[in-house]
Amino acid sequence: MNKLTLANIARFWLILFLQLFILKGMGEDIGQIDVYIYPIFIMLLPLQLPLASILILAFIYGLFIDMFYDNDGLHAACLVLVAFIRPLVCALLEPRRGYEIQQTLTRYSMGLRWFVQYSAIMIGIHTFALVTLEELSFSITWLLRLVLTFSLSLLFIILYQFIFPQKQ
Amino acid sequence: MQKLFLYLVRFNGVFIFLILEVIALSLYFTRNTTTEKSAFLSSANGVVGGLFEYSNRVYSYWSLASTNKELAEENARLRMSLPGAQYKQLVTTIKVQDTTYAQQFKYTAALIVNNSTNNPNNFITINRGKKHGLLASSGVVSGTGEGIVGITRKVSPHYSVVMSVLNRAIRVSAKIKRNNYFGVLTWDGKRTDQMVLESVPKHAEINKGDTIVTSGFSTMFPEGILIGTVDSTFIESGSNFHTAYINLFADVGNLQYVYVINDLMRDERKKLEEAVANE
Repeated sequence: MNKLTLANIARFWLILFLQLFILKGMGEDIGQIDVYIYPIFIMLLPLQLPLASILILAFIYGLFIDMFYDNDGLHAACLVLVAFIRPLVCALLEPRRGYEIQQTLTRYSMGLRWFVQYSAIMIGIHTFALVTLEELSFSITWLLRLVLTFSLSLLFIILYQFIFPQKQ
Repeated sequence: MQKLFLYLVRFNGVFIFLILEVIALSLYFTRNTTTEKSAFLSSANGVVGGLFEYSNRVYSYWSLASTNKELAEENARLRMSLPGAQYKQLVTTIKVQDTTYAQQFKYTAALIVNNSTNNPNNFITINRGKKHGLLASSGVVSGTGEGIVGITRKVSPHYSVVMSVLNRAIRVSAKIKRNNYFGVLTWDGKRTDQMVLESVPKHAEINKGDTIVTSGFSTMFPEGILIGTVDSTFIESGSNFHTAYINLFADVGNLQYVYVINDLMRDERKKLEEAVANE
């Protein structure tokens, strides 16, 4: 139980709280647009964690979110996908000097530009999977929801990095 | 590209990934079939339901303003359908089966935007005006349904200034609910929770605790709107009238919403009364 583990456990609850108690209510207030910041939990997990455990964490976390959104398995499926894609995205975006073993992928350690790219790809995949599974057709509504949910989620995830900056 | 390939080869997670996706997606696509898992994995389970209720309590504050407005408007609509707000159209000399009512009093909900209780002559500003059909000299009653608040004085397109009951110039015709003796309600500028009922005839019985309501003799308030209860009475030496202190039902100091009452037949009545007075 080192500092990093504790920080991740704290983040688990913090993001769950933000997502369910603030963003969910806000989404209901502004109409049918949902804002999802919960993928940031998977995005910020330490690099050295084995993929298998990340996948299982993502599944459990997704089921938690599903319970509150009354969407059995939908968020779990999307989050597992995001967790699975993460090593690929990290490989694609690998900086020239490589990653350090102990590194966490935050704005603080990687720079804002890198973090925005990383979030955009991850949130893009997540939103695409989510909206497509919910709509099950490529209509105008699908496009509208995709664009709005993606841009708002990205905005909130970057805001999150500014509001709760992490040094490690 | 080589690194990407290495990542793919090193995957021991592919298998777990596929299993988890299959579980999640099968859960998702069977969500409408009624099985036992659906109750556990949804907000119907106790923990989530409790948390939901709590979170609902938290963010219901976001919509409190609009909820309040809706309720006030609904109340105004309901009050308009009360018998007291209507004028009987039944003419007794002809036998008419139809007992239709015509609307006599119109209630408009308004929000108080400015208020004072510490001056000798207090005024209240509300956020409704000419555009909403308000007229000067209309009665204003409390949003909670009990007690009068004042009389509109000046009406602009969007706002009205109400002469508060805590104003020394106010005169409201009021009566004792029990025996219908009437008097004039004024304010002596002393206590913000009391008014003074004057000109009640000496022979009328008036006791502590009697309920005072509007008389309906003016065109400002319909008959029977609650005002307050009698606190104490006395007869000044040489006077033929009771003076009574009335504890008000409405607390002007903490009001938020009020209703403005418009008598739709006011002009007709005024004209008739004036015609007689000028004779």
